[in-house]
Order: sequence, then structure tokens, then C-alpha cells
Amino acid sequence: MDTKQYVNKKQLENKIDRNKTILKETFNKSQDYISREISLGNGKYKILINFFDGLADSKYINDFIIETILNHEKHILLNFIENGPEGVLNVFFNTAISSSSISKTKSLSEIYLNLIEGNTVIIFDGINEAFIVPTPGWKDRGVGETTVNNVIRGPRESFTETLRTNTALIRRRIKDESLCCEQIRIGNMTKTIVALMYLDGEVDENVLSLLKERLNKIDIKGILETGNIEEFITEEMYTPFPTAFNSERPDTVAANILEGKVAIVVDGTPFVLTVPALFSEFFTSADDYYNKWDISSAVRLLRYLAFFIALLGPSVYIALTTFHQEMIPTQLLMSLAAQREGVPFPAFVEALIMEATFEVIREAGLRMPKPLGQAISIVGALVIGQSAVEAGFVSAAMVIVVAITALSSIVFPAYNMAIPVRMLRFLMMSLAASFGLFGIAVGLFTLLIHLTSIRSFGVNYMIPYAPNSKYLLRDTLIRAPYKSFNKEIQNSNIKFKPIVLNTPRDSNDNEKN
Amino acid sequence: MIMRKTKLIIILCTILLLSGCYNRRELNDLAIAVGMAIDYKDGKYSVTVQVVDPNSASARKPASGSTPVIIYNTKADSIFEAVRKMTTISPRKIYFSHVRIIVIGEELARKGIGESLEMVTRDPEFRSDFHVVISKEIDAKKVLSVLTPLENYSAQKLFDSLAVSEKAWAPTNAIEFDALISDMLTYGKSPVITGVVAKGDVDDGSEMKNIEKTNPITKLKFSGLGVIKGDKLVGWLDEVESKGYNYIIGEVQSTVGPIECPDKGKVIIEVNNVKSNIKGKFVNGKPKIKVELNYEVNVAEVLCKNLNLTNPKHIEILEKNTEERNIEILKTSVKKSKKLGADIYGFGVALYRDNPEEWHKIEKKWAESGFKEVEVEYKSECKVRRTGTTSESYLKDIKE
Repeated sequence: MDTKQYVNKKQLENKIDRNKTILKETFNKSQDYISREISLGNGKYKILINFFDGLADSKYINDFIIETILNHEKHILLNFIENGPEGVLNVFFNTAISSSSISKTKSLSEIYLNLIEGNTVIIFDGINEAFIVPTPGWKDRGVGETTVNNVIRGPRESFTETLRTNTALIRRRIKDESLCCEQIRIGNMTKTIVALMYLDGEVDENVLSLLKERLNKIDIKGILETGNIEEFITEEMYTPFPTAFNSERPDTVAANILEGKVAIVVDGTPFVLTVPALFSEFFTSADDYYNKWDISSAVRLLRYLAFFIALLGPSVYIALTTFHQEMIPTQLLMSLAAQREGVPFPAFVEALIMEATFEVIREAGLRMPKPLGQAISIVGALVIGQSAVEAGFVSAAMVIVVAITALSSIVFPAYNMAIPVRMLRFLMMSLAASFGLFGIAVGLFTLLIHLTSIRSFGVNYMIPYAPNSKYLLRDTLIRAPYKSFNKEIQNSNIKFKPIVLNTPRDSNDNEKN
Repeated sequence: MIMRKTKLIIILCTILLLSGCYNRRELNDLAIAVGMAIDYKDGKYSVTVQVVDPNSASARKPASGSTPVIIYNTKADSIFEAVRKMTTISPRKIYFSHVRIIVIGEELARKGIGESLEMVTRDPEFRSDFHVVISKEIDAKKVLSVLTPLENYSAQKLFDSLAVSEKAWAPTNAIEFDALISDMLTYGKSPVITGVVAKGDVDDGSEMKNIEKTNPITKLKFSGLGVIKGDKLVGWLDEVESKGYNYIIGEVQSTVGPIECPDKGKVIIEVNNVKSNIKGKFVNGKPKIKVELNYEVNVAEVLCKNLNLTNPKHIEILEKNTEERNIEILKTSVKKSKKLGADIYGFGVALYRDNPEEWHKIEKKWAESGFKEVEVEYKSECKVRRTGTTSESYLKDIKE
């Protein structure tokens, strides 16, 4: 099962009593460890059944393991007398246990791992091998509805905390034998299973090998969420921008796999990573592809607009009102000037106060216990909205600017793109406060240079803007009609082809980069 | 490496503070000027600035009692000195970017506007898209002190009504500042500046009671175009002459005028879609100008009894009368400007475009004699388009 070998090379021994002691000693402080010894023919032959309560399905163990053993008592004893312990093993392996997959192992560490995963380990007297019967029976949440990446039209399913369920959700969408699911364990203590899913032949081999190399290098106690490995596997440490994409939607992940990316499914979290991630990817939502192209394109443009509003809203306001008053229409300038009469702070401080207040309210809204929700929203609305203006702390126009900025930063389909925007907004504000529009221009240029320098698994983050790919641009600022994709460049060496583009099997070799 | 980067970032952050926001101005530190008036009195420039009080001029409810604008006036040897002197009376620095209009006193205009506008072209705060007008017979300062209804401050009022009247009435010309300067510098074209007059007692006009009445005591009104020769005002075009001027340079968007009926009475027409074309030509070294006018006419008011608008012949007569009348208007205008000796239509420019070499020969004499002697040929073409919702006027059917 796993590619990574952990710890001791100790193995089972022949004597069942000895084996029993070893296991008991290992788990002697864990009372959820259950070890049931079945004695056949008045102690002539012993079988030891081990499992963890709560993790293994005890009903299954009762019905299909213990009961089978008791029913086959005579048969087992007969075989024991005739063929020795090996005979018993054959009976079990071939007939006795009604389970789809049984495996054998000698390694103690493997036995421990299997026990903890909810499997049942059967140990026979006189044999230094154990049977492992998969009996996982812990409680999981079941496939629920999406809570973060919501769409109007599209599948409602979202990933769960169970790895197997998640890989199954992906496999149900891509019914092709070339879909691979490689698994490794990461985390010295958690031994979390991490599954890499990709299409053999379509995947970018460089990305895959880079990814594997980086995953193997991770040396950490535990992996509890994809975020734990995201930082290890991405190459850009000093960027606020996310260079791995995550989603809780099986359809989004499946689409990314179809484009030739690799999905990283981590046991224990409903968020699946896909790499490499492109800047434009964070502006797409699943239902862009399910709705008609015209409205999808319009919404895409709206999101890019929101990106700039969220990034530059307060800074442009500061720059215009403190440096470039000549750019404001006269009537508006009068109105703004009237509102500013009596406001004691410079526009920059005013904006900082409002932005900080908003961030506090946002964080409070996120963390507060649910019953407090109303209290927070009332306080937030009153403090931010009315009282601050009436008390003369801030001008009404500033409240509008901050409100629009805040709304715009929630528009992104991918929440982690809102984070760099939130942080950079403050940088832009201070640039605007010291240099006006010139500062904003410098800031934007720096940002652009930074963005084009970012790589995600060796792939340029700003593809297809820079380096430019006219073909892929059809699925960025706008989402072009599907029919317009089909004609050209079937066999070109473009990475991450849109899923509407069918790639014939036999031309696979031409397409690899 | 990380240490070096952190240090670099810290240093970069401190650079932000170094600028000290050196020319940062908060909105409530500004006195926003919307109008400027320049007079010349006793050898000194008298500069008046109309500053808006945002509290009473903004869209929100104006603070009661106070006037929406404040007037600051100073006198000095030069415009810039006068402007800077204003800080001694104004609590805030005057901000000129939103100036909508500059009013020049007639006395100064006759003396020459060149010197007084140099500072305006040089100062980075001034835009170049505001309008320039000349105050006729009164001080420019008084024009700015009149309070006007509807629009809160007179500079905006002048700006707006100049734009509106240029569109719908024609005898005004909303010349923008940069166009004025470039006209002054172009050989073969002289600028014109619209004149503004105040009707009523100007001193009463500066009080709030002026806008508390339905019929304000003092009103500002545009009247005629001032002809500038060089940088000096040399005379005024009356209403008809101004209209003729606007026709020739193709600035008429829409105007109205009376036309003779076939027998007696008159028809009021609305002129639309005016296209004009000035062609210059040298015939045997002699300059010749051809002015072509194309336009459409709508019948707006029929004040004669025997005009049948369903009859094509009557329409033809109407068209012919219109054409003749408009040629008369053009002739009157050209005659007046010839008398003043200022080529306000840009005939010289048209000649230059036709034949630059010939033009350079007569360029020097153009302003003095050339323009006065030039032969002008007129062509006027009109089409009657719409005659309104009724065909024959009901006037003839009114019972005795």
C-alpha cells in the first residue's frame, strides 16, 4: 500500500502467545485496542483477532470473521491435524473469510498501521504471518453539499474528510483507465495518506516528477490539511499569491485533472489541491462552464474588475482626493469636500481606520459562535455605517469606498485569491498616500513584475497572459464558446488544454512537452 | 539572504516616509476656485476669484444663510502676485484646477489680454478647457459677485448657459482657453470672445435676496461677440453678426430665425445640421474666398395665412428665401469684421492650406489690408425637412 517504509523491521514470530504479548505491550495504554483470542478444540489451536474499537466495524467482525471461524471449527481442526498450521492458513485464505481483499504480512509496523486504519488483523498459532481483513467502520460525514465553492448550476456534491470517498468521487467523473491514483504516506506520526490523481499520458511529466520529489522531501510530524503540504511543495515562499489551487468540488478537480494537472487528495480534509496553479484559474468558477458563454464571459470580466476595485479602491480614492483633485468632476469634488469638512484625519488615516475596522468585523464574523451573529452584524453596520460618519470620524464617501472594496474582495470564486488582494491593498494605500497615482502606478508595475516572475511547479504563473498563448486566452478574461476551441491546434504543445478539446489517444506522444 | 531581503524591505518602507507627502492637500485644506476675473485699474491688475463654500454648494442640503460662494479680490502689478497675495485674506490656499470660466474686464481687453493670460498658461494648476468671456461695460469682478439661481455659483451658471446657448441659439461662442491662445498665435485667424452683461443692479445681485426671488433682480446675460485683433478687443459683433460668424466657422448646431412668407407675414424656422466649408483660392495671385453653407430647416412657427406647406412650390420658395436671408447674415458679419480688420473666420488659414507659397507673400499684409480687400463668394443650400404636425396654419380659419 505505501511506498514509504516507516520504522522498525521487526516481524511476527511463530508463537502466538509471544505475538500476543508483543501487541499487548505496544498498545497497553490504549484501551480501545481489542484483542480476542479464539480457542478451537479446547485449546488445541488458537487464533488471535485484533482490531481497534470504533475504527473497525465490530458487526462485520462478529458476523463474518468470528462466526465463520466458529462455524468452521471442525474443518479448521481437521486441516490443522492433517497439514499443520499451513493448512489452516489455506482454509482461511481460500474459503473461510468472506471478504473481497485479504492480504498477508509479517511486518509488525504494517500490522500496527493496519490496526489503526480500522482493519482487522488475524494471527494464527504457529505462523509468522498475519491476515489483514479490511474492516474499516469508523463514522464519516458522508458526501454533503458545497459550502465554500458554491454555484447556481452544477453538481452539489462536495468532498468529505475521507480519502477513499474523495478519490471515488473523482473516479466516478473520469471513467478512464488512464486515471492514476498513486498514494504515499506523509507525516511521521499521522501517517496521512496522500493520493496523487492524474491522467497518465496527459499529465505534464515535469510537474509530476517535481511534485513527487517535493512530497518525498517533506519531513513533518503530521499532515492535517492540504495547507500543511501546500507550503512544502510550492516553490514561491515570498509571494502573497497562492501557487496551488484548492477546491472542495469534485467536478472542478476532475476538470483540472482533465486539463493535465495533478490533484493531491489528502486524507482528513475536504479540500483537494491541484497543481500547477495559474493566476487566471483563481478567477474561474465551475459554473462558468455550465452556463452559456456570454454570461460567463461577462461575469469573468466583472471578477477582474472586482479584483482591481478590491486592490485599488481606497488607494485611488486617497490619491485622487489628496493629490489629484483636478481629476474629480467639479460637482463631485464639491460634494466630497463638503463631506470632508470637519473630518480631523488625513484621508489616508481615515481609510486605514475604516479598513482596519472592516477587517476586525470580518474576522469577528468568521470566528464568533453562531448565536452571536446578529449582535456582530448590528454593531458592524452601526459602527461602520452610521455612527462613524455622524461622529465625524470619517466621511460618508470613505464608507462607500470601503464598502465597495469589501464587497469586491468577496467576489472571487477562490477565497485564497482574496487574501493577497487584502494585504496588498494596504501597501497600495500607503503608496497612494505618499506618491499619489504615481505611487499606485509604481505599485502596479512592481506587482506585474512580481506576478510574471512567479512559477508554480516550473510553470509560469501568468500563463496564458505571459508568456502569451492566444489559444488559451479564450478561457481567461472571457470564456469563449466551446465550438471555437475545437478547430485549431489539436496537436500543438500547449499545456493545460481546456477540457472541451478532445485529444485523440494515438497522438499523445506528440503532445507531451 | 532572508536578512538582506528584510533589511531591503525595511529600507524601502522608510523611503515611503521620506517624501513626507510633500504636496499632499486634503480636500478641506483647499479653497476651490470656480471662476476668475481680471480687471485693469489704475495701472494695476485687479484679480478676483470666486471660491466655493462646499458646505452650501454641494448636493446635500445647503447650510442656511451663507452664500454658496465667496469673492476674494486683490490688486498687484502682475496676476501671479495678486493670486499669491490672496493668501493674506483667504484661510485656505486657492485651488485653480476647477476654474470654469475666466472673465476679462472690457478695459483690460481693449488694452490687451496677452500679458494677463501668460500666467494661466504656465501654471500647472490651471486646466485649458475652461471658457473665457469679456464683461461688457461693467467690471469683471462684478460679474462674479452676482448670485444666480438654479446653479449655485455664477461661474457654473456662465459655463453652462454658454454651452447651452451655443447649442440652441448660436450668437454666442464658447471659446476654450487653449483655442483662444492658439487663435491669437495663428496668422490668418483672430479669436472672438463672447461678451457678458449684467442686467439690473449689480450690487443687489451679490446678496442672497437675489436668488430668493422668482425673477432675480440681477441677471447675467450673454450678448454679442468681442472681436480680438492681436490681443486687443477692437469691437463687438451684434446678434446677427455673431450668428453669421458662427455659421461661417460651422459652429452652429441649431438656431432659429424668421423668414419672409411669399406674400406677407413670416415663418420661424429652426436650422439644423449646419455644415460649412471655407475654401481659399489664389486666382492670378489674388486671394479669393468661397464660403459654402449646407443646412436643414424645420418649420417651427407659421405666422402667415397663405403658406401651404403641402405644396412643393411653397417649400421651394421657403428654401430660396431662407438661403437668401442666410447669405445676408453672412455678408453682414463679414462686412463688420472687415471694418474692424480682424480675420475672425480663418480665411487666411484657408488660403494657406490652398497655397502656402502664395500665402507667405501676402501674409504680412493680411491683417492690415489683405483681409479687408479679399473677395468673398457665398453659397447657401438649404433643405426643408420637417414641417411640424400640422400642414396649413389655422390662422386663416379663425372666425372674424
